[in-house]
Amino acid sequence: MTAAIPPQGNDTIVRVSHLTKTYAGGKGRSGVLAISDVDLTVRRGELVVLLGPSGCGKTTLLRCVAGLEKPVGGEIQINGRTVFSSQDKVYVVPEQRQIGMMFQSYALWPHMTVFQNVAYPLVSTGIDKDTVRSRVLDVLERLGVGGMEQRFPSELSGGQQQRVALARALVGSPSVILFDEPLSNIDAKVRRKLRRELRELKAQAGFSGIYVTHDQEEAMELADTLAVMENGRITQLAAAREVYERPKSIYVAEFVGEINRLQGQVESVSTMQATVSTPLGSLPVSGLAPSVKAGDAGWVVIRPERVAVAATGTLGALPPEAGPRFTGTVQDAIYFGAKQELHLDVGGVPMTAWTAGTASTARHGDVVAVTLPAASLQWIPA
Amino acid sequence: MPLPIHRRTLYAAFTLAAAAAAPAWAQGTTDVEQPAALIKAAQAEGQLMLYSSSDENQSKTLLAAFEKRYGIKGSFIRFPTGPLMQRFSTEYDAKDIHADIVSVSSPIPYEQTPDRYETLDRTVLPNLAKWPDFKVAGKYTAWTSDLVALIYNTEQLKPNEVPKTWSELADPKWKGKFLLTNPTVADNYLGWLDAIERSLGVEFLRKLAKQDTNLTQSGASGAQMVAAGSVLFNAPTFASFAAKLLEKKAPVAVQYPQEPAIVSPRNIAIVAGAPHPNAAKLYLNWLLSEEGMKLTCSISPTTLAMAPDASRGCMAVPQGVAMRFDVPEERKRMLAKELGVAR
Amino acid sequence: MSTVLDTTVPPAPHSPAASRISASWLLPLLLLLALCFIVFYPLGTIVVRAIAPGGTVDWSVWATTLKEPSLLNAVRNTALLATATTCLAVPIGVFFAWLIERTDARWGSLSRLLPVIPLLLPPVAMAIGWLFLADPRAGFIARPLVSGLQALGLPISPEHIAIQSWPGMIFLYTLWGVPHVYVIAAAAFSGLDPSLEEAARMFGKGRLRCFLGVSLPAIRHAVGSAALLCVISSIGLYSIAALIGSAARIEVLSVYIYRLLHFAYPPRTAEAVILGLLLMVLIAAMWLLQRRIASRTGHAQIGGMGVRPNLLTLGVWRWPARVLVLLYVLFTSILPLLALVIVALQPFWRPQIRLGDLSFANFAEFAASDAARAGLWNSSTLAICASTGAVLAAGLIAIIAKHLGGRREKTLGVVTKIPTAVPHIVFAIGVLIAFGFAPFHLNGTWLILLVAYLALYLPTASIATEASVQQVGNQLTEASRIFGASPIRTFRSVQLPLIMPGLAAGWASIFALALGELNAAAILSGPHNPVIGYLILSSFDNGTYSQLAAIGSLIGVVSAVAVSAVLLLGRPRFTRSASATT
Repeated sequence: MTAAIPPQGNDTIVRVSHLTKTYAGGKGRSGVLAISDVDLTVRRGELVVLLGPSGCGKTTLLRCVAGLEKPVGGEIQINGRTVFSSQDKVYVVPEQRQIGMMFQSYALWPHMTVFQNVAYPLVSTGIDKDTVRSRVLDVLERLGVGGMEQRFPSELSGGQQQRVALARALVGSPSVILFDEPLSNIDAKVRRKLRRELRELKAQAGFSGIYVTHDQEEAMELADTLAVMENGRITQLAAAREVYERPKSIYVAEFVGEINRLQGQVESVSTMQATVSTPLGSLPVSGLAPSVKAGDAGWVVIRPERVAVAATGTLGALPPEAGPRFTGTVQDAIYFGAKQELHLDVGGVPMTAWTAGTASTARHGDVVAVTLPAASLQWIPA
Repeated sequence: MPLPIHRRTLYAAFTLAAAAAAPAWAQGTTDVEQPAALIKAAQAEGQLMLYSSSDENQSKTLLAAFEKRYGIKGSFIRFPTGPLMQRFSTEYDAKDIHADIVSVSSPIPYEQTPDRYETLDRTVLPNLAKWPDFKVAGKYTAWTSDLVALIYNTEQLKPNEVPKTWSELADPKWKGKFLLTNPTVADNYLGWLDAIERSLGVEFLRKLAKQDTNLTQSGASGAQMVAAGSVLFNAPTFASFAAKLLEKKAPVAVQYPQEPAIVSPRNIAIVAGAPHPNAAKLYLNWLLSEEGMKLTCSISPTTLAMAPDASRGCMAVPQGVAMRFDVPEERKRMLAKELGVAR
Repeated sequence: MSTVLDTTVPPAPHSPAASRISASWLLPLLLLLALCFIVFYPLGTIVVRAIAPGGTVDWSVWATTLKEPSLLNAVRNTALLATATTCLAVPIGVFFAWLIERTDARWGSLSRLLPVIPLLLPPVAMAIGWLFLADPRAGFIARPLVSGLQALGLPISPEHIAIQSWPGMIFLYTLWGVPHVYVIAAAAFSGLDPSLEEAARMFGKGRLRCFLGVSLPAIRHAVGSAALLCVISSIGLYSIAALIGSAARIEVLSVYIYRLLHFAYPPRTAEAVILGLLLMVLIAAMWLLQRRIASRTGHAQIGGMGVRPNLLTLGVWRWPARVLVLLYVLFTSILPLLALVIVALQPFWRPQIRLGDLSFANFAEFAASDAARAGLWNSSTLAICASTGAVLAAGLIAIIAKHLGGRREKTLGVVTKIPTAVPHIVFAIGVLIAFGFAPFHLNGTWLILLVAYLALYLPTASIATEASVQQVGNQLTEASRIFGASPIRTFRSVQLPLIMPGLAAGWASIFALALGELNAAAILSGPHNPVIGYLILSSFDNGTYSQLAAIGSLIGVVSAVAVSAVLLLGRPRFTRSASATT
């Protein structure tokens, strides 16, 4: 069942402006700039995913919003309330920010029962015990771990613990929930299942959140907005589709999904089109920014699934795509079930192509016809 | 309540007559009565604290008897002279005096700080009148004296096998078989060492050093080791340490090696500014009473300084060398080094 | 459903954040100040007296102190003894901790108590017990052993196996040191991530190599702490050296200092104080070194993952390992305690046990003695108060330190360890001078002993709690804060329960140590405030070994009951897990 995604509100739940955080260097090492001048907005009902490799600053950014780290400069507002401002010297401690969080290690308190764990956020709010009890049992039921409230975390499986941690994050109805790579320690099948559930849950409840992950697939599935981070900065902030189909930099292009890239230099520019000289010859690219001019260096990129491959000699199997054609040799063919990944040598240039799994298995040494549809070729400046 | 006149006269007459009729040897066998006021004052204080380096058993027994007699509860601290005087001095310096009576062997602590002690004379201690020739040293008085002894295991040694002179200790047949009390532990053991060296010379010390003996830090534990059969005998030590063991029928016995016989005194004094001065005076005076003296000698063989005869069950004055307590530091070091107990 | 996941934003509470923070920090701050006072004031007095005895700086006494020829001998012996003890005690203790915590050599929760049992006997009691066992001519074990070997024709003479010798001393020191190491190492092992070892096993490492290569390095922090503790304590240990060592003419520093104070008249306090100061500096240097080494490695932490630890199977080595542990307990506690009990029942110590002679006379005498009863009562109450106070204070400080982090954490760590750098005797002198007379007038009271014990055992408590606190993962604490708990609530609900087993272990150590404490008692305890240590000292000097044995066996029983209770209560009831973070 695909849940209808409720329209996102216009009011901002979290606003981060010009946030900078450095770690002081110790013992002769120079300081590290963890995040640098970052702006971010999370609207009501929106889940922003911070995606990037380790060290890119995504976790630091999350922890700054949580209040577990103190930034050096900038401002953070949650629900219209300034929780951090370097200028006005405001810093609200985490326990007063009214947020929920899901930790990588689940952070379930091993000496408390599941019930006590989940009830923890509600205890100091002054709600009466019966309401607390009903809310806790409710959320546990909702997440599929009902009936386990008297057990201890160590008695649960990994997946169950994960759900309990999520329950705890949700029970207090916080303004925003922060996710610190919560699914990275589970095996793939359970992870996918949980992702799906999380997505559904979010659709129904419509909570706002910031989600940190290094898994691109996860990011794509969960994000309303994707923020790709590199070296402490947000390189691209847009919906998943936008990031995937129109990456702003080679870094984003390579990080989000697989991509083939050819080094090139712009030969000529005309309206809507340009010709770029690459090791494979001159290729047409479209969808360029107006600032591109002849002589620019950069990359021509194409996604593997867009590369059309057909066995030579197969008549009528040529895809009706318009684009330059080449001959390539299969170096390696990997069968993934749903798709087949071909490592090709096209005119000396290594390329990856994905074909349907139902296509006949290619083998090493097969000669194939490769078409690069012009509409799929993109230009990324260096 | 004043006695009726005729009784008083009777008492006076009796005492005078007794004194006049007393033969010389019986001098000092009748107690001088303690003033009633003193007894009352002492009982009002109700407590007594004794700081003594004498054997624990002795202090316990004496205080118990004192309590029985006068109802005054006594307690004591027992440490070797060094720690004992150190504790006393620290407290005295801080004007936090707990001790009423201090008793150690060496006269030096008393001589160094005489202002810490009360003057002792017949007015303070009436019983001193029993021995008109006995000189009190002013702020303290000699009380008992003991011969330095050797305690041996009767199951493993026959009496004729036991060393009779100190020089026999260097005999190779005793190598590794006896226990030496560490002379640097207490001043009367050091006094023994000093006296030994003066009599037998440094050579003897060196021979002793080669005897491969273990050391004990206290006479009490040394006696235990002898009783257990861990060693054949222990020296130097004092007879008092064997007292309790003998009570329990342990296989130990005391021998007094000669050539020379070395004597260790014990002094006693009342603390100036003591918390219970009257109890202190009463106690010291009681120690000098017949009851007190007899009891002292029954606990373990010892000699009374003021009545050095064999009456009252005590030991007769031991002929011997009196030990010195004013041994200079350097000599102490030299002696210890030659004996091999220090580097 | 919608009520649960209702995302209506509750109004931000109007809370004066500033005052809430200061209120919850007030109590710890006061506590910290009080602790600093009882730690630093006596030390300050010592420093002042050492450097400026008469009010002006005066180095002349330093020359006299250091020129003393026997000092070098004492220092050398101490260094040798400390090194040998640590080199033996740490590996053995860690190995046993690994056996019990990480392999299936353990059986039931009772077995975790076994290696701690030796703590129950004060070192002096254990030393005396071993004297009764191992005296070559009168020992319960040694005598038949020697005559047996002689009967076999072996040219053994009693001197060869005397306990009053270097090997004997090292043996006793090691026996005494191992349980201290064990307590720390076991606490560390119990919080360790099993996947570390499982990974090693998968790579084909044998069990022993797994222990050496994986388990051991993972708890380096704890091992380092334990080693340091071992060294420092062996330097300051007085009882064994005084009783056995002096007989063997092995003079160590603690006895040397004690002699300066007690056997010299007038007491050479100035020299003792100077030596104390020098020791302080030395130990501070060692501690800094250890911290440096420890900070470079990571330590495995308890996370919130609740993984059940798999115990390493020893297979055919299982029962030999168990036997080894049992033998160890036998040697360190059961045998000496048995010897003590036997001698306590005898009228006087003798190797032939005549059943007809055995009686409870010594215990009766002990019970009848006012001083003895008072001593037992004082010691018990002091031990309870000192261990509880020290452990709670240390726990709070450790948590605050972790919260502050960085240099402030280091400073706090140093402050709590400072008393270890001073031998108990010297610290006791400082306490006496500082608090005994004007203006506090605490001399001869129960309170002055409590002050001294709190300060003296703070380092032990803080070492145990720091190791514990380090192992509580940051995320558990952060989660508590995120979900709205004030620092006090976080401490109470999350940190305290999780460090409780470590605290319990620390409490147990300190209780047993305080009960039989001898060194400070020699200075501060007297007939008005007797404690067990004072009774033991006077028994040894004045009384009979049988009395000593009676006291020793009594302490053993009291300790055993109290410590077992605490350890059983304080054992972790949930299986703990870890995620290694390096």
